[in-house]
Amino acid sequence: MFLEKIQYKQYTDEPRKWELAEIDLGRINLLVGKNSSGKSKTIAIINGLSILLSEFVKLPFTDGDYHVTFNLDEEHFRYELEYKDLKINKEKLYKDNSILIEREPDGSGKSLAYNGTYLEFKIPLDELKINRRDEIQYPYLEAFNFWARHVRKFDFNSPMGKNTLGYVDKVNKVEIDFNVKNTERLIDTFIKGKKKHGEVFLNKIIEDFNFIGFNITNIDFGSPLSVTFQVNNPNVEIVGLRIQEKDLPCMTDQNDMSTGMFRALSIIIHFIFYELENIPGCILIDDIGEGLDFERSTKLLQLLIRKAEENKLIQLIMSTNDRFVMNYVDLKYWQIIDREGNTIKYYNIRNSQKAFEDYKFTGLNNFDFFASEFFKKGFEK
Amino acid sequence: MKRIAFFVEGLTEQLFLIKFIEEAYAKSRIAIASIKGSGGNKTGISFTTITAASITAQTSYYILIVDCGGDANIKSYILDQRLSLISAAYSKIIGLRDVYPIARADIHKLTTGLYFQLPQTSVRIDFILSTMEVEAWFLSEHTHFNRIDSKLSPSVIHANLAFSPETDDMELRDTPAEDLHNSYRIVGKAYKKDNFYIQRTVNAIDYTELYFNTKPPSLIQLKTELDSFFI
Repeated sequence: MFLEKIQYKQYTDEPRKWELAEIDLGRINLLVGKNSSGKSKTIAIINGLSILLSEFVKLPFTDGDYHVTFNLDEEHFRYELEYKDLKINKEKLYKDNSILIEREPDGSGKSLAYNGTYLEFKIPLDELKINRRDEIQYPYLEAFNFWARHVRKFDFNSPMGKNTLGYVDKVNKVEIDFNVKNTERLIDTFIKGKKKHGEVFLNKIIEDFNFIGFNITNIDFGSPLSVTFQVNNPNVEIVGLRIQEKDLPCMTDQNDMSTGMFRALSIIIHFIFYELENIPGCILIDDIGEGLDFERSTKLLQLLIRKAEENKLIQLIMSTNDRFVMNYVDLKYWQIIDREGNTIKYYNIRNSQKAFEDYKFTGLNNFDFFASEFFKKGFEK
Repeated sequence: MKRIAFFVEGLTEQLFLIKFIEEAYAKSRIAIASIKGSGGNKTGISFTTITAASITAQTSYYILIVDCGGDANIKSYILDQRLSLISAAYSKIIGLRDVYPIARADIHKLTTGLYFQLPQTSVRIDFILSTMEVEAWFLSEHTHFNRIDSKLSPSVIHANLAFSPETDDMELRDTPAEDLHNSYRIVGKAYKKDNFYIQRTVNAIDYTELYFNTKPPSLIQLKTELDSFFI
């Protein structure tokens, strides 16, 4: 299942209102915009939707209005959710034009069961009906939950797990409680990947990390070399990642790696894990390449796009405001974000086809497509 | 000192232009600086000097040739560097690129697009489009084949590849670089977009022949620009 369109409003009748005009997403998307244009907000809203739909959580905001379209094997599911003051006023789910769920402001409503009949319900005002799963009665709900549980977000301007260590229970061999959404726990992903896929996993990491310009010959986990920990349980070992750089005589601990290097390593390890485990879903990366030099950030971007092009199970949504990163991404993947007051608008090859296609005749690079605002008016002066 | 800046799409154009200027014009009075532009950080493009200009008491002309690392960077780099070039007293800025990957049928659109919203105050900016690729110029200087290999000539190429660099219009060839490679392959040699191969072809070209018997209109445009600069 892919997220095809999303529109979002918040605090509609108030001065603090926010609106994301409808964005139609492709399988690979690069959100491009100035600072404070709404790139991170767009990513946060998609991630927020996934949190709402992934488990039984109370509404995280006091006010929200989502209009979302999902694509499941070319069938279109439309989901509408409006809530205010932590009470759901509207929740509707359609498959094309057929109603699957319809809910009233008092929590009552009807939902289509497997046998084609509508079953009535009444649930708490702050609880989503879409989260009330039942594989037999409502098999169609499973796909939404699966989508939501597989959306993962990376903040490339954050430490991305650099300060997070893991542990290994040497005696009890306790399995790590692994959650694919928890992208901050890189060490868990690495331990799990190494255990399941061994050398294949490690070699792929080394290969990709070298491709983007970090020359390493080995990667592993183990007790941090540069810090010590007091652990009460003698069976437990605190562990972190370590790499062997080609031009250094000893291994480098994760806390000694540069922030940019660790961020790149984190993305690569996660992507290889997804690839080997066939984990589908939506991957959100805010500020891709931040902290990396030009060559490495563009190489990383090329690598991720190539992986997403090859792996049809993945939907990739990234953001950047780095002009040089932009130049290396085909305009067909661009979503230009333009904020007018409280409204965020998107321009892409589908809704601004002529400008996107004519641009090649200007002889300018991609960054100027955005900087010159050619995407709005094309050759019109 | 008169100054002109060329922004070219790649190494091929850069190496050719250096050699053409050195061979066809008064070398002793010319200083050529070649640099390569590439992505930098968020604040600006970074430039690397490939060959520093050697300025002497006789130098009257200064030529800057920037390898922009791609056709789509030429106009962007020109716009980015325009004001500093104006303040450094440059009298002309020229962008040199292939028509390819734009289709031949869209050359007019490309020309119009290149001049779209292009500021022309203080210093004139012009574009030269080699049709379809700069290798069409190399093909058109057909005497060079013999210097690549003594067994290679326009008649051998015509017999093997059914086109003649001597009599046909090389700007009508859709893939001149491929034609050049296929021509060299007849005698077991190659042409690739790589320093060694480009330099070998550039060195084999007879610039007197090229200058006086220029056929491709785009090359004539380049010659005209250089002639007027060196007046």
